[in-house]
Amino acid sequence: MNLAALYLVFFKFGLLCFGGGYILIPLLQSELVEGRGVLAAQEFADLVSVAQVTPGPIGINTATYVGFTQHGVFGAVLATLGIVTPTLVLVLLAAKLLKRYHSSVPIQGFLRGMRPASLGLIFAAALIFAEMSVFRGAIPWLKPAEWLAFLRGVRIPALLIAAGTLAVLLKTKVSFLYLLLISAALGAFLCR
Amino acid sequence: MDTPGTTGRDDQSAAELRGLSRWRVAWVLFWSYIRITSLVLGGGYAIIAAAQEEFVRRRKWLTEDDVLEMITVTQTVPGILACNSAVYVGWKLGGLAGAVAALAGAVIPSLVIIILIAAVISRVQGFIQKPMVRGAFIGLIACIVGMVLATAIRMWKKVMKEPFAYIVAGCSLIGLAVFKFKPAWLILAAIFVGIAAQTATAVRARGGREK
Repeated sequence: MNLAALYLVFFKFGLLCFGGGYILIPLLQSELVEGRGVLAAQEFADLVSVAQVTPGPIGINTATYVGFTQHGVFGAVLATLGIVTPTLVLVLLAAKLLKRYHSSVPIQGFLRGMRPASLGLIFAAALIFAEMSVFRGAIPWLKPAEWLAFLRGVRIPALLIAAGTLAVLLKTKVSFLYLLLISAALGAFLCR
Repeated sequence: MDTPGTTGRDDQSAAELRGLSRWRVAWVLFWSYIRITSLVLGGGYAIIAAAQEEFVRRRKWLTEDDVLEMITVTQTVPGILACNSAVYVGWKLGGLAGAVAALAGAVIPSLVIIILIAAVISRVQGFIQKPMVRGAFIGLIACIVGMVLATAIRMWKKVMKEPFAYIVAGCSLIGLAVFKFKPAWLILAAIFVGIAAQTATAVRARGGREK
C-alpha cells in the first residue's frame, strides 16, 4: 500500500467508526485482512492484542501499528493523522450544529438508526475477539454439519476468562487493568 | 494544588479560566491529555472517565453537564471516542488552539509507545511464537471479549428503546458476523433507514394533529 492510500484508508476509517474504536476491528478485518490482503491474519491478531494492552486510544494504537508495519515511523504518523483529520473537523462542526438542530427530524432519524447499528457492530466485535481466543477460528455459521466439531474446539479456560471478566466488570468497580493482567497470567498457563 | 474551598464551583471555575491566557489553557490541555493517554489502558470510555476526573473533579474547569453534552457529541460524530472527546473538551476550554492541543496530547503517547513496541515485535517474532506467550495473548483477548460485551450491555438500555432498534441492531450483527457485509455499508444503511423511519413518524404525527 502506498503512502497516499494509507492516509486515505485511515481517513475513511476515521469517518466510519461510529461509537468508537471497537468498530475499527471489523472495519480493519474486512478492508485490510480480507480485502487488500496487506495484513496477515496472525499480524492482525498480534495488532489487536498490542493495541488493547497498550495505554491510549485503541483506534490510535491500531492506526499507528498498521502504519508502522506498512511504512515504518513515517507510515505510523501518516495513518494516525489520517484517522484524526475527520475528527478535528467533524467534532467542531457537530458541537455547533447538534446544539442548534437537535430536535429536527433528520438528526433524530440519524441518531435513531446509528445508535442500534453501532450496538450491533459492537456485539459483532465481541464475536471477532472470541474467534481469536475462545474459539479456534471463524464460526461456521452456514455449515450446520460442522457446528458440533466447532463447539468441541472451544477453549474452556478462555471461555471462563471471558465470562469472569464480564461478570466482574458488570458487578464490581474493579479496574479492568487488573483483569487484563490476571487474564494474561491465566492464559499463559491454561490456554493452548 | 487545589484550593480546599468548595463554594461557588461555577464562579470559581470561570474565574480560574478567565485569569489564564488561551495559550496557557492549551498548554495545560496538552499536558493533561499526555498524562491521561500515556497511563490509561482500554481506550475510549476509560479515557473519558479520566478526563472527567482531571477537568471536572480536580481542576473544576468543566461541570457534569458539560461532560454529558460532551458524551453526546462524542458519540454522535464518527471517529475515535477518546480523540473526539479531547477535541470537544479542548474546544470548550480553549477554542481552536485548545482543540488542537488536546488532540495532540491524546495522540502522541500512543504514537511513541506503539512505534517502540512494533519495532521490538518484528525482532522478537520467535518470542511471540512461544506457547506461553501465545497463551497469554489468548487470555488477554478472552478478557477483552468480556470487556467489549460489558460495554455493549451498558449501552443496551440507552439504545434499545423500541422494536425498530432491535431490528436494526439484529440486522447489523447478523449482516457482519454471518454474511460478512462491510461495516461501513451497514452503518450507512442504518442511518438511511433511521432517517426514513423518523420522517414517517413525523409525517404521521403531523397528520394526527391535523385531524
